[in-house]
Amino acid sequence: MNSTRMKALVGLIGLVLCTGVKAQTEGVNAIFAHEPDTEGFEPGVAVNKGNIGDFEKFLPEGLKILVEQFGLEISTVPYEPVLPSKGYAEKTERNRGKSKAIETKDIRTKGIEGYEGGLPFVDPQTGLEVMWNQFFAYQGDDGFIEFDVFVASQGLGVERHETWRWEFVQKGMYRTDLPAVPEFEKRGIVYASKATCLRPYEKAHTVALQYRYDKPRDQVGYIYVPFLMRPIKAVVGAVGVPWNQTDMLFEDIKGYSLYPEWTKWKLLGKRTILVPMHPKVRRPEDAVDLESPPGFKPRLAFEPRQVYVVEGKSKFFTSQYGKVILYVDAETFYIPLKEAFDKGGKLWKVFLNVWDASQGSPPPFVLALAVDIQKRASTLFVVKNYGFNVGYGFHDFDVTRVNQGD
Amino acid sequence: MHRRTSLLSGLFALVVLGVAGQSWGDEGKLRITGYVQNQTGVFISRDKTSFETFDGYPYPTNHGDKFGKLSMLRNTLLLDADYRPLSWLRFKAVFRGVFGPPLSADAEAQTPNVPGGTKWAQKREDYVAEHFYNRAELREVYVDLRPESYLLFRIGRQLVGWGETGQYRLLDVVNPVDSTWHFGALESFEDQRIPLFMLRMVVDVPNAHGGVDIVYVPMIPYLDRSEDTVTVPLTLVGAWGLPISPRQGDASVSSSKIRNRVFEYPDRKHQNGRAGARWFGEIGPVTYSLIYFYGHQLSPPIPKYYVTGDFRGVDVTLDFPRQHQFGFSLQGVLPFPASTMLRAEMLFEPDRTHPCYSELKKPYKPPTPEDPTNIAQFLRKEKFTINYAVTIQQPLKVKFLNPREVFVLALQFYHSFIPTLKASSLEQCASNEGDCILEVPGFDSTLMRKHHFRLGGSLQTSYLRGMITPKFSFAWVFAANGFKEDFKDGGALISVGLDFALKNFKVGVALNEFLGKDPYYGMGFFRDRDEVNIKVRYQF
Repeated sequence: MNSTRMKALVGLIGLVLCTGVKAQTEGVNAIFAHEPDTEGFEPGVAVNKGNIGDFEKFLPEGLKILVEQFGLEISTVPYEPVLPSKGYAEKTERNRGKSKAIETKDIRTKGIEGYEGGLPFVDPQTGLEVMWNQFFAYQGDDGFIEFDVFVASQGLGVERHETWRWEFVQKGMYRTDLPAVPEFEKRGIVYASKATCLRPYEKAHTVALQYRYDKPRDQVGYIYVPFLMRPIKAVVGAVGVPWNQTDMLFEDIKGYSLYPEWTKWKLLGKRTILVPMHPKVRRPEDAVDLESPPGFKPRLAFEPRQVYVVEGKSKFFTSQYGKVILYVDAETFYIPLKEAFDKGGKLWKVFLNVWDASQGSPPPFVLALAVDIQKRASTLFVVKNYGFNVGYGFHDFDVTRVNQGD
Repeated sequence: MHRRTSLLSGLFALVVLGVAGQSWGDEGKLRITGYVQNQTGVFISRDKTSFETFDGYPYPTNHGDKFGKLSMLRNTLLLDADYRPLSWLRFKAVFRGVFGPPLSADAEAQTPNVPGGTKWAQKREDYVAEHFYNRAELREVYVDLRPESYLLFRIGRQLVGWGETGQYRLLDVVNPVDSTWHFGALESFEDQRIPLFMLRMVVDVPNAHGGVDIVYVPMIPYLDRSEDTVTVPLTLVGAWGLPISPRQGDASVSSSKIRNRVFEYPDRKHQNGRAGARWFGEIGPVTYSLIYFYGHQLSPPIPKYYVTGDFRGVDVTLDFPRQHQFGFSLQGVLPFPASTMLRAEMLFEPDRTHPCYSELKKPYKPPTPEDPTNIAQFLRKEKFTINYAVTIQQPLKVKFLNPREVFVLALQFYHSFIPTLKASSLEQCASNEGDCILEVPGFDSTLMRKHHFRLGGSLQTSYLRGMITPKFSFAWVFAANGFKEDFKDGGALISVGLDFALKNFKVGVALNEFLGKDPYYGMGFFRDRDEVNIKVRYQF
């Protein structure tokens, strides 16, 4: 084949592909894309203590505190849509209108009916519907991340540094990207997580396996304790329990990681705020200054994005929080910003979660900062490696595997 | 062995250096973790040693005189290397080097080939330091092969932990234990277990919601030392060992008269191989396991022969009989109050060998003009023994004490009983009435009762993001022949500790108190070992 023919063929294939992608994206756009209100927004500006007043409209209280008191440096970039996979979009379209959110008084009754996959509520009208969207948000069917965690305080600096590998099956059921795994479906496991500590020595080889079910049962799991050489069964991720002795609770992971039924939700409204969804960082560790705890001075690009503002009050008396305010991204239903209030109603903690949609779909979770603004202490997560839709089987999350400390 | 250890250690270092250019923490790369640690303890008990003289021999009536002496001075370097070049291949090696000087508290160690008395005290201290406090070894060296996702082969020197209830280690029957440097319950299992060369196969059976773990210990010469295939007898050390026995039934067998203790460790030949299997799985909300293991009775050593001859004192031979063990474990979440874990395990020992009252011997080889040695055989009895333990673990929110973190309360109950035991008194044993078996060989003060109990608990929480961790634990030991019948209080252990962690450092301070009325029973054996212990660790 001569080079002219070759170029023509490549061009033709490219044209076909582009048309296909465009058509597909347009369909997905119609459901998922939410153009933000950018009036008064200017891209290419550095937001800092000096000019924060100019961006008042786009900065919730928690974000302002991170800029003013903890050294967060924001550079503004234009909005870009973040869309799910074709499979997820198709399921959303196919199952549109089938889901019904149910306000439950007790914590064991299932709070959704008719859900069969995809985004359950295309146009959520209540806080509960928004949180069901968050629960079933598109994050690929499975994946892993490796991350460093730094526990810090103003007085002592970095108190602890650990490295973890976190493997997860985001969709044990209702898959959209990968073939079904019957074992998860048979057991009613919606989500499975396996976190393995890689260092330091005392925690290395500790494995925490956890299942979240289709029904709001306790998240039972196993913790492999290296010095015992065996896994012990445990309730993992109970309400009010800190993750790994940090300022972040299990329920704070990625903004909210409990069952939607376990919290009473109220939709406070919809607004445009600055969100780091395309943070423009080459490597996440380059975006923070480890010498500047507890805020670590993150330097990230933020874009204007529409969010649902949802207030949550726990149904558990063991909850540490009086209430939480979640800023739920209207396209992805991720929670880039969370404010947690103490029982006296004072703002206590601010959580900034960063996904990087410029890496592809689903966007990897690349950075998280949890700041206790009262005690001026923090927990920083810096992701070093990630993967999605790797094709885990049930055996990768089976207790038998944890039995071997594997 | 030392030469072999050095060779293996050298190989380990080469492997580490050979691939150390790759950063740890990434999949498929070498990960090295470890720590450097100093652990120092001082005895604080005011107990004094006392003696009585009988037939020209001094016999102790109490043990003590340890106040202000070092209970331990142990320095450790541990390196843990984990290398996964391929998804189906993993290498693991753990090196541990320990260094510690001889301790004056080891003067009472009942070491082989070193006579008793103050004259030889330094030799006994040196023996203990050389054999137990100074060692460099590759504790674990194994390779994992996973040809299929459901199948794992683990070949090499390794540790196996079976069972669920933690502290009581009922089903934890595979590896022997070395607790010569500290009281066993105060140290981690991982540090105390003695690794063995094993062939292990784990097969997942997802359809049955379970899997099977098969273990074979071939007892190959050169791979393990014979003495490392059983739990180290606590008579061999002094600081944390058993005291010299008092005068009892047959005064001739008291520790002070024993010239030599000969331990017949299991020979390293395939006939002495050990094997077992564990099935583990889930039924609904309950996780369970079933185990069977055929091996040796790892502890205590059982007296076998009593030898006298044309020498002063006696020689005693002890061995480690063969044994079958089987049992099961269960663990699950209780429906109330909340997040309550229940763990239980049960172990049956159909042929457990028990030592008998010291006077009970039968002739084995009478002296002759050519060979003046007179050998008698100690009586021993096999008894079906049943052991079970239950643990309840409850996280508690006590906001006024700790508004951020939970308290974890664990309560443990252990019961061991011998259904067919014919209980007897010391007087009856003198005329061989009843079963007359002992809990601790050589101590007639530990005449076996039908039921043995241990009640324990622990409470711990943490403050300031895990920087400060207070801990409290206790254990109470008691025995009886029936309800309120021949009740014997075995004393208690109380431990209060505080850990501080910052950056890579961890400092732990603990006060350990042993309570026991009878100095030769239960916790009373250790009532002169109250100590303050400080552990400083730098980990990476």
